[in-house]
Amino acid sequence: MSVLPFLSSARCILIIGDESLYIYETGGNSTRLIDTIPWTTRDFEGTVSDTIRRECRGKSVLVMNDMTDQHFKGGQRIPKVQPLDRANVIARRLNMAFPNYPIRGALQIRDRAGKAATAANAAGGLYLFAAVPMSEPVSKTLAALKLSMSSITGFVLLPVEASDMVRALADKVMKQERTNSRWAVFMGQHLNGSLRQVITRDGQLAMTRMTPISDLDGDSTAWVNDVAQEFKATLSYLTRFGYSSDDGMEVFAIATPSAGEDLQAQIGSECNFHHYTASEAANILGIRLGLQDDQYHADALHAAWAGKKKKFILPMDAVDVKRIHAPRKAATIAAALLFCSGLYLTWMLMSQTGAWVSARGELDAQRKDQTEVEAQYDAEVKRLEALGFDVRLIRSSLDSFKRFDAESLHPMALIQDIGKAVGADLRLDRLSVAAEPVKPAVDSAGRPLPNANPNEVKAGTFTATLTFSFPYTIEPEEGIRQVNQLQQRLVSELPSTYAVEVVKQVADLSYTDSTVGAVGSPGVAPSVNTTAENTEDYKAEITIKGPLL
Amino acid sequence: MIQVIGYKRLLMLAILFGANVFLAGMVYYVVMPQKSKTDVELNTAKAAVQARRAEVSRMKADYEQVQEQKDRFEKLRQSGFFGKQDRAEAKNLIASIQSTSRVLGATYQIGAAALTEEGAVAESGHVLMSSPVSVSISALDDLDYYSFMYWMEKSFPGHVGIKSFNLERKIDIDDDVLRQIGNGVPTVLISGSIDFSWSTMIPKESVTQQLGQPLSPPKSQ
Repeated sequence: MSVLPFLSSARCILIIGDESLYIYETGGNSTRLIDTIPWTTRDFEGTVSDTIRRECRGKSVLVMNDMTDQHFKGGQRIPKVQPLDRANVIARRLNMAFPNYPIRGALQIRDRAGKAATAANAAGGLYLFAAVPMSEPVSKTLAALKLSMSSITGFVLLPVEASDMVRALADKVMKQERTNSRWAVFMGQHLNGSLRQVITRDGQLAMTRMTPISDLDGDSTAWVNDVAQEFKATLSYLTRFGYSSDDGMEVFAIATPSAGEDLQAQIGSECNFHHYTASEAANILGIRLGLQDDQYHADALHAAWAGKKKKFILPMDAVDVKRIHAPRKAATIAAALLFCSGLYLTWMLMSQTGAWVSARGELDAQRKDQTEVEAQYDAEVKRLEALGFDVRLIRSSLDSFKRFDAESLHPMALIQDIGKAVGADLRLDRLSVAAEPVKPAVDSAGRPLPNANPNEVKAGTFTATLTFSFPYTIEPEEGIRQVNQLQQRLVSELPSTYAVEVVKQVADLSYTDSTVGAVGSPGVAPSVNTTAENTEDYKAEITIKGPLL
Repeated sequence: MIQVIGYKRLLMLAILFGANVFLAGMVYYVVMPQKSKTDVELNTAKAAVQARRAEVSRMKADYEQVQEQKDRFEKLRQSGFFGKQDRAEAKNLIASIQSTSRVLGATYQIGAAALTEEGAVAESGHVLMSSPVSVSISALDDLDYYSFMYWMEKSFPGHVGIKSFNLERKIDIDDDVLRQIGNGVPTVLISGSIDFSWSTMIPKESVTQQLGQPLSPPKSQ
């Protein structure tokens, strides 16, 4: 059974005729008449369902109605409504147009360019309504379908679905012969003996007729006369639809070559007449019929054309069909989804299993390596132990001692250098030194990052603060000069990795200290010492920053 | 509904559904967890192998340098790096250093030791012991203060890591102060403090308390 039978190009086509049901099977390169089952057959439903199950195993079934009893109402104007409401309005109008026919459909009429008919654009558009009565053949066919358990592609009308075939034929011929006809007529005799005429105007179905004629298998002259007569009757009908000989008409007949020639002699003067065998017409349309019992019946051509369609012109809306079709379609879609999901899960299972097996292999290899490395390690430990020392203890103690050193101040050299730079003249009031340990590296969230090299010893930094005082009698400029000179001496005495900075200058009177001063009065000899004076010592502060090691 | 859909379709749906459930179960409850577990094990094994390889390389290098390391290790041992930080011994040492350095007075506080166990130290069967020590010093001269700091670093058992220190001139020298000094009156010209960490390494079996906990309440004098 195909996973998505309703999307497959291989189909089982049931053509409902007036006397019998014709069962066709369409596939890639052929269209085959499986059986013709008259309506009067005893246990019709069982016979048909058995045939479908046996001959069309797993294929989706398309039902084509080719009975005389088809009803059309053209030019139905729909009021302008919101797009979401349109379907409901059309359904209501269809119900009003065909209250007694349960199988109904509506087709929007388009102009030659394929756009919605412009005249009706201002309103909701022009529609062709179609309906089929729930006749005994239709109900028997649906009952057989229900029994067969096949999925259903749809229920369509043969003349409607043949209209685009007629347009395709006309387009090809008009392109070859450089003609431009608005009308096209397709005539083909069906197995039930009737002549089906499908007439299109500007590529759209304008009319269809089904009339009994004599069989071509017998007297071809009678057949030619019957067809010519029916064609003339059609022309007279078309005149009422506005046909004029100036519009141009392409006429296609499915017939044997000799009968086609005879027919052309009779009606060829009134139109652009073309006659083909069924296979020739199929070739022009780009489809293949395969071997056929005869070449003058058009049923197989219609079945092949409809069989290759992905989308139908007028799918008929039938409650009975839906009742069978919808659950089966849902089940089929569910099966398809489950199948795809199963494929995905299988792929997942295989890829994950592959990755797992690969990881297991790698893990085994790593464990083997680990065993070897442990053996090497033990051998090294034994070799080192043979020396008479606990090497691990030696190494760990030396490492620990080194790390402690890296985290501590080593003040003697610093004090010595500071002493040299300060000399005997300056007065150092206060010396304060503090170590700052290395801050562990953290990520953006503040979590500590793992140390890439645990054996690496990272040294911290220190900050030393030197506070000096100068007597209040000193000129500030002199104090500043001495502090600057001291900074220079510190820079030259200390290692180049240290930073020396004057954070408070002598004359930089900070707002944290109290300040006293006076200015002279006019007429009085200025005396700094007698009016008021600053008796506070000047302060200066220098910081030294550098690495601990 | 079953009659419309058909037993074959239902059976096929059930089989497909069952297959999906089985496959999903296998993927999400068997294979993926097992793979995650294996990945973790693999990463752990890789890290262990890498670390051991580095260790082996280092031990090979150690073998070459063992003589030099042995000499340094002996010095460490002699410096008391493997001692248990005897507070009584520390008290005597600080008194001795005070006398040697000629500082006028030293008040000290030895905090409770903290024990930590680290990778390489733990492998050698030892733990690290660190005690915070704080000393306040009064001195006549800053050289005495520096001398005290020097001898603390040099003569204390184990490792003495100075974390911070400060000193301050208390008073200026004038005639009165000089007279006072001349008369032998202890005169504090310099005061300061030193904070350091006293660290040693002790055998793990000699530790009875839980790691990371203080050994004993802080002592002070």
